[in-house]
Amino acid sequence: MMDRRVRKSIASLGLAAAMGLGFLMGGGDASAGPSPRDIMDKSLQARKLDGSEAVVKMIMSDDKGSTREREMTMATKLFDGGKTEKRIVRFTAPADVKGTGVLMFDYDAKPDDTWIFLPALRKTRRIVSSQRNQAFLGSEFSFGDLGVPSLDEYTYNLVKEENAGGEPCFVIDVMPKDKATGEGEGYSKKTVWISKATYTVRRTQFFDLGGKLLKELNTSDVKLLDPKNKRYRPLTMEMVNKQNGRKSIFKSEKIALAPDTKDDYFTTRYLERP
Amino acid sequence: MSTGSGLFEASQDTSSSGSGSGAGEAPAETGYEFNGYVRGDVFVGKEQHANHAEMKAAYSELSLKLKVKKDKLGDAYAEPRFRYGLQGNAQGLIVDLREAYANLYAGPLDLRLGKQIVVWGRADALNPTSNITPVDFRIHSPIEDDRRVGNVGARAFLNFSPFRLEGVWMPLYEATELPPLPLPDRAVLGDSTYPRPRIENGTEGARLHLELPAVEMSASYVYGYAPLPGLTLLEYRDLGSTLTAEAVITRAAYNQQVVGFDFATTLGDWLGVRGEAAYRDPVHFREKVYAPNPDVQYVLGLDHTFGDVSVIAQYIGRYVFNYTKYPAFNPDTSLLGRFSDPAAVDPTLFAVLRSKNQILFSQLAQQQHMASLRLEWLTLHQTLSASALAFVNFTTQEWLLFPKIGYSLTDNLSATVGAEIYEGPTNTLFGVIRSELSAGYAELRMSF
Repeated sequence: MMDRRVRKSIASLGLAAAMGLGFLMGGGDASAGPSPRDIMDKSLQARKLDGSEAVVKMIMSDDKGSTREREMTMATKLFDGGKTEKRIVRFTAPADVKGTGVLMFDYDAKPDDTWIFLPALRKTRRIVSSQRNQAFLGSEFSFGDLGVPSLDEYTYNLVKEENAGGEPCFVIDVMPKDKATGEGEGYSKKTVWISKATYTVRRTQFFDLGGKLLKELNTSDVKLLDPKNKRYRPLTMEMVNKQNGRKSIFKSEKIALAPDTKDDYFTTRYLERP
Repeated sequence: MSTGSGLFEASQDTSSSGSGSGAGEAPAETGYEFNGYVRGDVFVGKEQHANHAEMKAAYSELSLKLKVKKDKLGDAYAEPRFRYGLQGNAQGLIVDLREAYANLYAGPLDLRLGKQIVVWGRADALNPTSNITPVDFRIHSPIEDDRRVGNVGARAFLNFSPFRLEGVWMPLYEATELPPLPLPDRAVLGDSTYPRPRIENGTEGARLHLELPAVEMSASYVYGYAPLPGLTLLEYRDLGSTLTAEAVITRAAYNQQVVGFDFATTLGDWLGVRGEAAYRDPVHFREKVYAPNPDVQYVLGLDHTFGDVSVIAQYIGRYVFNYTKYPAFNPDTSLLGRFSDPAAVDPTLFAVLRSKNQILFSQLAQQQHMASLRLEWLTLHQTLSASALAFVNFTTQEWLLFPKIGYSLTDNLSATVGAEIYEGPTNTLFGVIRSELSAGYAELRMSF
């Protein structure tokens, strides 16, 4: 059971690895009077670190307080002038998924290539990318929450400016342009709080297809990872499901900018070396 | 030279990442780490030729997984398993060093030496190109991998991206095990006839991988003794009377060469496609009653996820060359009783053995059409899974079904119930093994 649970769940985890999560990621200099689309674009483009290495813990809890944990280590690196981000993720806990690894090539203009190494299979297997509205590893995060969306699929409306996470933010409504996009990710609307100073996402509210508030994400422990390019990352992200009371926390226990991360990591050869 | 922060590599060598938050801090180094599990399993099936249940297996097992941490040039791994209880007809304590090997990483060369399990092929569950590691089908376990048997040898990769050249050498012979096929009256199963541990009796294989972002494939070649032995006559044993002799049958290994090919790719982000084929050529097969005819096996599979349900569907085919059908029959027991005249007995006995071997080697027809389907449904925040592996041979009417339901009570504690059901006509492999291997089971497992 864990095999598929992991296989299904970590295909897009590299994004979580950088603890910025898709378009929820952010970083870079603010400029005066940007349009909401420009803000989102900056937030999205600035998410890409030249390379990174991280140790991440995910804690999932239900409304009764029982918790489950997953621990993983990961590395990312940009290739092809930033058009391709390669990621490798290795689970380190719990014991029954330890050694499982995923290698992912995330392209700007075509579907990802993804491989998984399962110790019980004893071989690397190419897999198909998962659906965006599916839960990630049984958590309150979905693949869509973790992935990088196409900005052209949405419309943006700057609603107001408001503090979130203790800093001034732009508040932007993000709405799918068509029904299929909304149904694909399971949301009718998202409202995003983006830091005016760092372009880091500090809060997001997700509304279900019926328009009711479904989930709320809050980020904290924002860290300056790349002083040269002013790239920030929230080290902790907490997603609360407002409808069932469940909560999931992504916590970067360790993270480092690593532009010279070994190219060898991003190979099936390394994937098979747990 | 690229080095990175060292965080990614170092953090894989600890069982816990700790609570520190310093960027780039490598975890405290330890020389080794322990993982493993303790589990209890019960398998209940139907007694052969009777209409009541019997225990097929009931055991507790401790697995210790020891990993010696990576250094610049290598690492090591060992997994001893301690099992106590009933497994088939055997009861007691079994100590199994499932794997124990050391790895050397020297530039483009990766070398693994020791007891290990080698699995080739990109198809699901059935891999025609995988002819190195034997399988013990008698083992009752919810985990398919538990039936694979480690063997001592060397495995090396020479990496020059996008190619990888793989070489395998297994100097010792280990046989695939199945429940015994019924033998005719006055015939008994004697000692096996397996190759001695000589250099020339090892199994060698080579595989060239081409790994591109959009597609990967490999071509392989194996020469050596096939893991699954056949049946042949060892001797006539005189029991002191011309009418009280018996034929001693032996399991004998035969040499073969296997040429294989496999590939995997995806169609967009919607469909996975994988295929595998192998041509098996037993050496001097005409002279060996215990060797199969040459054949080619091929698999084409598709996989897709529908919501919470993942599906892998495969077509499997087999074509046997130089085919002659040896129908199963009930031998003339009076003829078999005349062991004083082996010349008269041999043709009958060998006809029986050829028929048995066609069952063993799944060569009951020249052309066979088969299919497999694997389904898995994850729900309750992925703590509950319901899965099934089904296989059917449309030509021989054999089929199997492995349904399974698993629930993760905690991160480390899981419970599983399921069944392994084999079915087939009397004179087929599944028809022979169904009563011994078919069973329902329950397992409770704690990992650490």
